[in-house]
Amino acid sequence: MALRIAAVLAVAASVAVLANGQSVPGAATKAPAASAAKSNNGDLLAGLLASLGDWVKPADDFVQTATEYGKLMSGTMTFLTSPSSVYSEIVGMPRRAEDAWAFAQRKPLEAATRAIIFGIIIATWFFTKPKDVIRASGLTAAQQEDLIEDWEPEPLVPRAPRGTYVARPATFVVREQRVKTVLVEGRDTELLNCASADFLNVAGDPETKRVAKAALDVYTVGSCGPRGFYGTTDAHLSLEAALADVIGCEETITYSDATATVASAIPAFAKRQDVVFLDDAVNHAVQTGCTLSRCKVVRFRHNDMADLERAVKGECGSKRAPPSRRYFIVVEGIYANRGDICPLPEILAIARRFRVRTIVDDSLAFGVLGKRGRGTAEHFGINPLDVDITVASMATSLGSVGGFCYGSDEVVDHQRISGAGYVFSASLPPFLCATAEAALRRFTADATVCSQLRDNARTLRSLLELSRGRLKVVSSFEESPVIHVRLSWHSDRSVNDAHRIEEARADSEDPESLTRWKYAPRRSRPALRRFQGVEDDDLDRVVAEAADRGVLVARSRYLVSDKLAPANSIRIHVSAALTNEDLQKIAVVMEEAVEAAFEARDPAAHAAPARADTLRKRR
Amino acid sequence: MDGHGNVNVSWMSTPMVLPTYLIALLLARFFLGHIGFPLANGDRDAHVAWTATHVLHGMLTFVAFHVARGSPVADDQPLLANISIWDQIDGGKLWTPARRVLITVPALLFLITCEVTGYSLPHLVINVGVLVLLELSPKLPIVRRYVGGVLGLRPPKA
Repeated sequence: MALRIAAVLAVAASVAVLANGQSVPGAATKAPAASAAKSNNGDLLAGLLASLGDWVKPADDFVQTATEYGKLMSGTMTFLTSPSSVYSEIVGMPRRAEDAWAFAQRKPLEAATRAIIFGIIIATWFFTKPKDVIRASGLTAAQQEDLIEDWEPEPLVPRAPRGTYVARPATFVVREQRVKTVLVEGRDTELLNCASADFLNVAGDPETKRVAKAALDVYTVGSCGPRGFYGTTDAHLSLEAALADVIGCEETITYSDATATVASAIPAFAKRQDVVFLDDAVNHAVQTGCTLSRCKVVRFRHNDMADLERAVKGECGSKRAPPSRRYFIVVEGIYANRGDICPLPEILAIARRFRVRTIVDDSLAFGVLGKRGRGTAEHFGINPLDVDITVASMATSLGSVGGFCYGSDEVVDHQRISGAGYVFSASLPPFLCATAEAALRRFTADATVCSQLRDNARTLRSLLELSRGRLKVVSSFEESPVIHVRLSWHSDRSVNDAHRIEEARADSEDPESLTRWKYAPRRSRPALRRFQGVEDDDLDRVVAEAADRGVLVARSRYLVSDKLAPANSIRIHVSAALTNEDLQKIAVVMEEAVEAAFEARDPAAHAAPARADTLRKRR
Repeated sequence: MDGHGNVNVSWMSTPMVLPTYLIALLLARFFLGHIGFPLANGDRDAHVAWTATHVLHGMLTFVAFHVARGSPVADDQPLLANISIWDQIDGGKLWTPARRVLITVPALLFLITCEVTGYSLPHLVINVGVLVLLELSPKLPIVRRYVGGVLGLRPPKA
């Protein structure tokens, strides 16, 4: 270290000497060169360089700069090393203390500037100490105590804004599930079960219970961990193989939650740079999947193929798109929130034409549609593997829990390491795998149960449509096992429809705007919310009246975050075990229940929002 | 606000910062000397180049230390969102070596510029303005405490 400092000082001293034209003992070897230097400091180095030979002709600018550096270095370094040296003669620094005052009087500006700068530097390095910032609150201990006492923590679950959906307590607690009926707490009579999506009556079946018990004896309840982490049993593998066998693909992948299936499958493939074409009526799980994928979501009007084509054309024709960008069309087979079917052949044609991949959520169609109950694709006579990625729930026709996904081998394999719900979630309890497999084998062995279910759906729909009361069947696919029913005195709008209304308005001027996300103006939302609160009361009343008459139906409930949810409705789930008498009873009961709810409604409440809305406008 | 974990600024406390800083300044001076200024000619080129170096240095460091806020590191973003880079250095600790260097270098640069320009009045006014307003005031705690509110440079609250 000392050597290094000495070397630096030596170089500085030699430069200083060169610049100043004086010789010091340490720089004796440089003396001849130095003697050639002139008294003018600015020309020193130029002269030196020129003396090296005529062939060395550095640029003037370089010489000037180099000279300047030499001057500066010499001045600064010698000043720092010995105040009584040549520095005084270069820049006029006083050599002795008595000269300082004279210098200050002669050149006060220079003296003051140097003093201030060196003062700052010396103070910075020698008169300060590193210290942590102490941020005093400026409060006394008593004041602090007061504040702490006054403080009230915010609730863990924030209060919902006024008028938004608030979860109501469950009206019915199921005590016992039988094949097509349930027993609920507080009622002795059996109710026809039209509230659960167990379309093939698997869950209440004695055979299912027997299979579940046998599996419980072997595997006990839980599966111990995620599939990749001690959570795989032969029950899982057997179920996946059975599903693959039925569908005709090489492998399938099962998830432990129906909602997580589609919400994992979409982000496993669609990434940030990609584009998803999303139908305007998909359920919340699909929306969640699109949100999680962080890709660009382009919505098209529900089941509107012209709009889909326009959207696809607009995106795929973009010249700026990177070649690695992937495009997906995301639809549902039977739309859970509408009960209508997607035109799959047209969608596949568009997908093939523009080289777009397809993702279909077939939860409600699997085990219902098609000759062998394989879902929407089979219903249209398409090979199920023509759809790139198909996702289906095991909580519907299979009467179990969870979901599965199938497609090509790559599609399935990729999800085993990148499907979030598969990798990070405990696997399905093995006994539920066993019941799902049993249900699968049952309807594949005898597909008449599926056609029975479709007949039932068609019959009940026609009966309900014939009733001609104040009951409105939402127009949808006639074989859909889910029938949405609304009340004739209700509007078809929901809170979340507000943006749709706005879009329809914007449509007339700018058709492009439809694919963009648009919130309704704030003004129209509170009014719609108030409507919805009143309408929900009516729907609850219908459910209660129907239960009094021996039929259990469900009212649809949507999350506040479900931006694509339609207006609330009564949801009637058809099941295969219902007889013609049962179906007629359901139709009659629904008509009566709606009539009773109409009698008990509060007309003033229905009128109130409109009045409030006009008042608001006037203001 | 832990200075050791904050990779956004932790490199500023390493020893090679000073040589890098000085080399960058010399390079800046070299290139500015070659651009040429319309108002300068002959001997005055060097004067203008040094002043330009100082002014550019003052503006760049002001933006880099006092205007820029937050951190690109995702985990630090909620903590450092409203804290300037200067306040992040060494976890907000005052008078650490890194801070001393960052105060000393501009002061020396100012002095060199003054010496080269021979304390000519227009250069001096510009350089003093840059030094005081952009380089020293935002960095000295005592200045920040009293006039920080005016400049928007008050130290961050706990």
